[in-house]
Amino acid sequence: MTDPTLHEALERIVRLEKRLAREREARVQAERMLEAKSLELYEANESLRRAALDLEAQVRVRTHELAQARDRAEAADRTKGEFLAMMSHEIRTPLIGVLGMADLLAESSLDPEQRQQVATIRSSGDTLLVIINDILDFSKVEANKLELELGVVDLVDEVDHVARLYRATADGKGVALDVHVDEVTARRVLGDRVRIRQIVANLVSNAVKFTERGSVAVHARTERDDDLVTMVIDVVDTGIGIPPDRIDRLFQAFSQADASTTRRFGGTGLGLAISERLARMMGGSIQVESDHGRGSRFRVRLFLEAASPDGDEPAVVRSAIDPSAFAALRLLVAEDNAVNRKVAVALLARLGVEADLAENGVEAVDAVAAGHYDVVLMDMQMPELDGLDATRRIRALPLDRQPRIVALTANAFESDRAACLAAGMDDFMTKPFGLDELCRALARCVPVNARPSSATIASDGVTAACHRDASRWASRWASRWAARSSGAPAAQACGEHDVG
Amino acid sequence: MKGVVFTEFLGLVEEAFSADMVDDLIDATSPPSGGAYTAVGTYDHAEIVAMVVALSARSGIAVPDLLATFGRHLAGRFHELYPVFFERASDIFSFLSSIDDVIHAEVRKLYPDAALPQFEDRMLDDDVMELVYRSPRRMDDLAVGLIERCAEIFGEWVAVERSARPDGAVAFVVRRVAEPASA
Repeated sequence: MTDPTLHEALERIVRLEKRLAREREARVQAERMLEAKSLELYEANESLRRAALDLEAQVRVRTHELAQARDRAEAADRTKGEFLAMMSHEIRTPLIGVLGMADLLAESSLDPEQRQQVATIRSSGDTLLVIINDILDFSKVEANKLELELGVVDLVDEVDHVARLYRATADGKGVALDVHVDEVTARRVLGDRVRIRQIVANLVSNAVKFTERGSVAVHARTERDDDLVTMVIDVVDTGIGIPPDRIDRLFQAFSQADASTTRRFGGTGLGLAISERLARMMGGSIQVESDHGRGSRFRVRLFLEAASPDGDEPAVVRSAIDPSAFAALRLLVAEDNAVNRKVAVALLARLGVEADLAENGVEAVDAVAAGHYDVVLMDMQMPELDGLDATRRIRALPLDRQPRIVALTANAFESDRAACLAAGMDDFMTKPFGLDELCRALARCVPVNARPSSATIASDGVTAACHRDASRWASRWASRWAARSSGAPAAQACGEHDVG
Repeated sequence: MKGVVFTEFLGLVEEAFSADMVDDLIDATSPPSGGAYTAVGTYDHAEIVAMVVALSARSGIAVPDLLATFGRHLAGRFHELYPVFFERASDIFSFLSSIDDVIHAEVRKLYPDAALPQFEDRMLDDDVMELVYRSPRRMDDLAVGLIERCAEIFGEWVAVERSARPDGAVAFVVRRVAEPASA
């Protein structure tokens, strides 16, 4: 007979052991489940990671395809533009023959009806010639093939000349044409006379064309800051105005504010597009404000250089460099000589470029590592670290975008040039250099549409990157000039006079 | 050290001695973890060393013998728990050479932070492999037991000689033999 208490205790131990075994089994199962789930999680993570990699690869492929498509589209656009330019030229030649013959015919003895017919041939031909010239100009501007002639321009003469051209038309419509030229601080400037006149003529001709009653006022003035001259010409009319939703399209080629205006007023719709691009080539802009039905105000601002007082210097042909493109270049001058640094800074300032300075190669490398420079002007001989070694170190930096490095050297031996290129430099300037050399060197650093057609530029990452930033440059250029111009800021000045 | 080594060790102690012995070892060594081990945890290597030493004192069996026995037990358990690793290999040598590349790669999927010993293998001739073992824990005896038992799972017998190398690693020379070494 067993003791009942002992029996109970034994039963209890058996139960506890069973419970323990159950718990242990549960633990072992939980461990296995955890391992299985961990493995699943690992595999899920792996497939996610692979999917992400695939996606990145796909994005790369698509981006590449898009870039190719864009390049093809741009190439097609260029081809079309070149074709248009060529055709316009081909049409122009026989047209000039037709017009010449019409003139000769007009000299001969004709009866009144024939005379009227010849006059119609002549005026139709003139209209056609204007259209063809517009297309030619526009094609050239778009293809960067338009070159600006640099000569002495007399602002007062130009405005008077344009006014004379359109006074008869304005008088005929009963529209007053008021011209006012301020007591200018710089009457004589260096610029392209034909193109400046073309811009002013375009604005005045439009104003007269679109105004049925009231007046067209032309107001010209200049602001001078040392050698730099800002020319501001306002053309204000009381004409039909431009609907607010059409203003954005105004400077686009072949677009008049309203297709019906083309029927009513004629024209190619290229005039403003050409003027706007010409103004941009001169580092300027055309702004427009309009009160629909009451009138418009066009303001052209051109950034030019003052002509020397004695004037009659020979006209120089300067390539179609757009200095506004330079203004936004992040530029570093690495030069140990203080005088040379001053000269470089002064020359750059004339091109609208603010530069940072480094006094030796070590400073230059540090500056490039810390800032995003587009261009480094690098002296070859510097203490601490010379230009070649500094360039090698810069090229070894893990930068998103490497700067263009232009060597500055005192001698122009071919071996120097080879050493510069071998060290990873892009370009080469011999000291002392002037504004023109600097201008050319910088032109090789800026985008396609701001670059001279004659310059040969490797299609490298620098120009591509600069190209993307074009709009940022334009605004920087504008703000720099707003800051420089004395008196009221441009925008405010523009708002002081209401149209109509 | 991975928890599976602890749970298997205490499982063996319970099987070979008793559950009381397990309690005794934990009471005697007071492990900082509390002794509540799970296979999926990670614990301080010093805890198992303390328990092996305590077991040796209580049982009178030398530490190297205990470790070798444990190694053999562990090999059998691994075979039960993870048969796939054994199925992938055709003989003991191909199994040993898969430890670093295959088995430990799988372990890292589950336990990315696992500190695993390293094995480098090199065939000296058809029947002899040199296996260089690197581990900060130096569980050489355990490794020998493991290797011998794994060979048996493949129906083979091996004799393992070991030698310390100047860089702190241990080189095992694993030789295939016709009969088991004297028990």
